[in-house]
Amino acid sequence: MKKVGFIVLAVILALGLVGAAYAAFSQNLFAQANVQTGNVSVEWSSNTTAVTGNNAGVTAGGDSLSAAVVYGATNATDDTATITVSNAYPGAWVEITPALYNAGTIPVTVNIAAVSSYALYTGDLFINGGLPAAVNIAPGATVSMAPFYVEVAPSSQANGTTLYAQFTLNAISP
Amino acid sequence: MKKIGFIVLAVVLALGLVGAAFAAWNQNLYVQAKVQTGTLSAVIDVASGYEASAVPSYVSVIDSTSAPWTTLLVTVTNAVPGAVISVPYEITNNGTIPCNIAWVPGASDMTNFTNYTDNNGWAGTTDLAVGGHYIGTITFTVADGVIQGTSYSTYLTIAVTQGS
Repeated sequence: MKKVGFIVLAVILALGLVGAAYAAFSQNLFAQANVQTGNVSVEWSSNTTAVTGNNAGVTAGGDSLSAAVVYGATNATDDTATITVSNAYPGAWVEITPALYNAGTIPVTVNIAAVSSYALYTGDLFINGGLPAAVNIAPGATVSMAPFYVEVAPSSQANGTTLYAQFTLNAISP
Repeated sequence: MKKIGFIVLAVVLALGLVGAAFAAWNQNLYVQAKVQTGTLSAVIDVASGYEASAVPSYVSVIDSTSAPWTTLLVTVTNAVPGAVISVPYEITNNGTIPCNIAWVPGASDMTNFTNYTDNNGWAGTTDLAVGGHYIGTITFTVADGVIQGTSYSTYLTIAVTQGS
């Protein structure tokens, strides 16, 4: 009889423990993050310049060499600045100074690279002195890259021909 | 006859004894149990003296809370892929019983945000005495696949349970 009582007591205690575990108070706290991503948006600045000259010994003004910069419209082609050089000849060059405006919300690093399959790779044009180093541009700021020179090769026979060189300016968030 | 008289006397005495028992004064005493339960209540707040931050630094982070102080709201603007957001937080046991706090593993958005960590240990638990404070820092990374100019949201849960 004493043994039965002990078993009953043990069962009651065990059920009590289980009951306490299920009945524990609980509550949740939360951390909620709302994240808005920024924008990378770089535009050409009108400070971009294209200046002509020559390594052919032609006296400045003794030729009809000229250059003009035309910026794209406010659409996808806005990303392109077209520099047109007229009346070029072997040894003539254009000094291009790209100026860029960071219209985005985050800083960007802009680097420049020549696109293959254009005249630079046929030998009619070449880059005299290399391409400028990358630049960092803060949001809302305008920065000019170092100038670089595209020159008509002295050996070029592209008389009366339009030669194309294209460069990609790649803006990336740092 | 004498024997019969003895028996009657015995019966009378026995009835007398029984009667006395029924007539005894009596009184009851009571034990009344009145139980007031404790309150499990913890609140989360920005950690005073600690600033929410991000790498790179041009990513803006603002943390805030408001009544009933159960949600820490973290607003991030200008985020970029790879940005690491760190948000200190403070949990206070303002209840009347000890509690135990632990992050619930996982978050509502495990795609656009990665590397959720906490200096409390992701699955670790911490005991908080009544009136006790705990300051921790939750950190997460903006995933590479996020799109420019887009809003994303995620939330994490801290389970508060009865302590001992």
